[in-house]
Amino acid sequence: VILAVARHEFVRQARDQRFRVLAFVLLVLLVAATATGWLDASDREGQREAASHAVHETWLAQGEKNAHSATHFGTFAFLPLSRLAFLDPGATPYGGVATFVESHRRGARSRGEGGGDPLGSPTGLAQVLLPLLIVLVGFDTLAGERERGTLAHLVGLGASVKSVVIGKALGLCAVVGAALAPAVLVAVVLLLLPPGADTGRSLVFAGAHAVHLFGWCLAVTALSAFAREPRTALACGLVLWSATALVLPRLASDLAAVRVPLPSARAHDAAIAAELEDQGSAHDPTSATYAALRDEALREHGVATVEELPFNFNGWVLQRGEEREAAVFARLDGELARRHERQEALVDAFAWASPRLALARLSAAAAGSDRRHVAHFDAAVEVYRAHLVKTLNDVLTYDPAARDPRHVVGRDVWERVGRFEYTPPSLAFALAGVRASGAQLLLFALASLVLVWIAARRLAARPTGERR
Amino acid sequence: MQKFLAVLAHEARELSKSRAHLFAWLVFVALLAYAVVGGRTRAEAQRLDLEGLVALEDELLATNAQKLIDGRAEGAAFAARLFADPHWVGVRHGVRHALLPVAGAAAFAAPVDTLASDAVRVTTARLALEAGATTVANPTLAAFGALDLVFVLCVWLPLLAIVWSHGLLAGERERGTAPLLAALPVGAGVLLLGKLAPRFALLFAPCVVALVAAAPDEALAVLLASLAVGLVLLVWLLGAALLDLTRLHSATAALVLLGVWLVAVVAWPAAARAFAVAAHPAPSAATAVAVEREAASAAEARRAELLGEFMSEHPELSARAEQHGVAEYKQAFWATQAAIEEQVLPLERAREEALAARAASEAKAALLSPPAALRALLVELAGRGPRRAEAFRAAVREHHAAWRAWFEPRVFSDALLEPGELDGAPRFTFVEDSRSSALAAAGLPLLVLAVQALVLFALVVALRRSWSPLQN
Repeated sequence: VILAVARHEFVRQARDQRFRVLAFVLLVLLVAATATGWLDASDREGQREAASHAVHETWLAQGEKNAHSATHFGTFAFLPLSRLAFLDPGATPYGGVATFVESHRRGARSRGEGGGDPLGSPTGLAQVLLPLLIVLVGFDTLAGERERGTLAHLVGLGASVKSVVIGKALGLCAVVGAALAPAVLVAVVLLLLPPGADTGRSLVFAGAHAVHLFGWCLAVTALSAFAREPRTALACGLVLWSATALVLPRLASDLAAVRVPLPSARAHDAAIAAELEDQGSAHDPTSATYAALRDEALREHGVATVEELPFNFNGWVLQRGEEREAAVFARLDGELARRHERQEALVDAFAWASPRLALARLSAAAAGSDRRHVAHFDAAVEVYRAHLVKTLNDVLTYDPAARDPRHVVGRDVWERVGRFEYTPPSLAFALAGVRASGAQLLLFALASLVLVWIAARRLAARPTGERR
Repeated sequence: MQKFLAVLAHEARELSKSRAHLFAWLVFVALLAYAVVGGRTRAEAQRLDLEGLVALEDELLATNAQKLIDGRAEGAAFAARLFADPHWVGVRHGVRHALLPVAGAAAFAAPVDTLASDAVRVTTARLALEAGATTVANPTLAAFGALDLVFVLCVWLPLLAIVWSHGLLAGERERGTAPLLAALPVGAGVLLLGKLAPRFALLFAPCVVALVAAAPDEALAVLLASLAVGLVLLVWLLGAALLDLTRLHSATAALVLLGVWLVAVVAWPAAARAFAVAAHPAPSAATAVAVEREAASAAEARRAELLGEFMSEHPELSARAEQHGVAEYKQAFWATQAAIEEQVLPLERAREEALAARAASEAKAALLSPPAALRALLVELAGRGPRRAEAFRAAVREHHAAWRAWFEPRVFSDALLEPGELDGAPRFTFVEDSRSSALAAAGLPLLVLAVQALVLFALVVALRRSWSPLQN
């Protein structure tokens, strides 16, 4: 009986002109967003790859110079786009794409590509508009039968109310799934194009969206069973949708920003500059910091003058200064990152009431484009920066020829520094940040299931829906 | 008129009794109030941040003015002399940011672009408009957007208007009260307008109050925004009325209207954006970085050659430099900056032109979707739109040219700056005629919205007799 009802619901919806038009509009939107997103992302990724190559060539061809001058010449690291970024750009449109790698400064990413329209990406459409589609096509699935009196007929024919309700829910899931199939197919084909799919991430991404849709189909079926008339079901569905998918995410974002305020970019830079000034420069031979470091080196090696040290002090002091500066960057940028995390924890608290929030967090994490992934990239750039600066300062410190201030080095040293290579983190890293979101999404689906069960029991008691 | 007023009074009474309507209205008002408070808080924080930058700069420049006096003293050390050296003053010690002030109606919209720069450091070196802009914003929050007036008025208000105004007559028919109404000496047109008018008033009034509260000192911006909100609301209500005059079931009418919402609020702007991006390809930011890098490196490598070229092209500077013994590194600085600019400018122009063309194309497309037109207008009135950003960039370019022109003869004469001389250097102020720019931004959208509302009104009037109180 369940299957028969589901099949009937599927055919009824598929033949419904309203469903066809709405589903068609959404499908066109989804396919267009997926295809243009992919074209745009692969174009940008290509340009970033080329730029990264060109910048490294410039680094290698910088000519002969003093090793420390080369740390100021610096190079650039470009944020790569993940394989799934075209489905969910996540955090990437809201920051820069290029980090300048140089000594004495932890560069922040600058140069944005823009294009951050939360509703414009495939996942944005799936998060916000697919639930609307489900509300619009599903609100009268049971309320309509009851209003027309056909539910009583079905029951009269021997079908249990529970199986009708379950069948209706399955039918709704099936018809929505079928309507979306072409968009899913397009996404799968694009994902399989070289260099090949990231299977684990793709599956988590797809699974999260599927659970979200499934939950909405069940919730709308339950709503339709609870409502006395279709009009009420539609109104309640719209209220539920606009509250959880439209208002709550923005409210959560705003409140998180208010509860955990961030310094402005300028204030953050100023705070770092002030700390560095307090710490003093190891570059300046007249500074107290320089003198303290010199005394430390002399004491450590039990010698009286820097000339007696087993290495070139000028290089050593630059590197020590660099490490002290890096500690300041790590501390203040770490504080900022912790504030970001606290903001996200607040957003996650709202996600118990808004499945869209949970899905958005999970989706961006699976796509490898959320803030944690971008922060992972930034951390890798910082490691590369430390490597670049240390490699070059070590030349000054340990090459006896570098005691001569006019000493220059060339391409072999630039090659030894190497190119910035970035390995994106694993799926386990991605999931570690969004465990709560996964639980929230599953809970939403489970709660919807329970609602359907309760609705079925209630309906079984009063299948005609006559008022008390 | 009397009949209209009677219908209106009856409808207003009915609405005031409806708990669902009251609840929805209260939620709407609460959202508006939240958006106003949030918008004003954000704008104030931005203002304070800019003031902080100015204060910091004033302090630094006052210190440097004193150092300039010390640097001019007889026997001053080389490092101290740099504070009076026009080259170093123009490139570092006397430099200020060019600031884009926070617009009076900034509370209308939250910042759209997290990397949009409201402060550009202008020196005698090449102007890099984008290079300095970084952000500490949490992208996770940015991706959800802010609950600002733009969201409430462009996304939420239409939804409420649809829920409140669909099937006003069809509902009577479905409840079976329509034949009774038809027996009254009141036409369908009067009936519809009488039902719509209190709904319009209930939705429009809080919007106007919110706009005034968001920008109490910006009468013109508030007026233009209110007009646009009123027209957009009218378009939705009249659209619902038009559907009502056809024989659609009220639920079907709601679905059709929500479909229109979907297209107008999401699909059309997204399509317009995708089209704009495809039609105006721009070199990516990454490419721009690589080209700048290559140009700078090449210029550095050809330094001596470039210096020769530059000096032969600028004999007046060459003669002066020779006469005053200007150090070679200063001359090379001007020569290499010019060479880098020459290399980078075509790409920078191409990128800017493409972005401007995209914005123009999206603005044109927005005219066809009332909520998109309203959004573009509110963002522009809030001073966060492409029009104002472009004006700011142009002004910064002009200021950069003036700053360089002021320093060039001084650098090449190598005389130290006099105390107070820097006060005569060009100071950046963003001069904007907010009145005419607001009118320019609002003129066409308001006209198009008015035409749309008029056409819908004419259709409602023309079709008012086609309504039938009986089911098909």
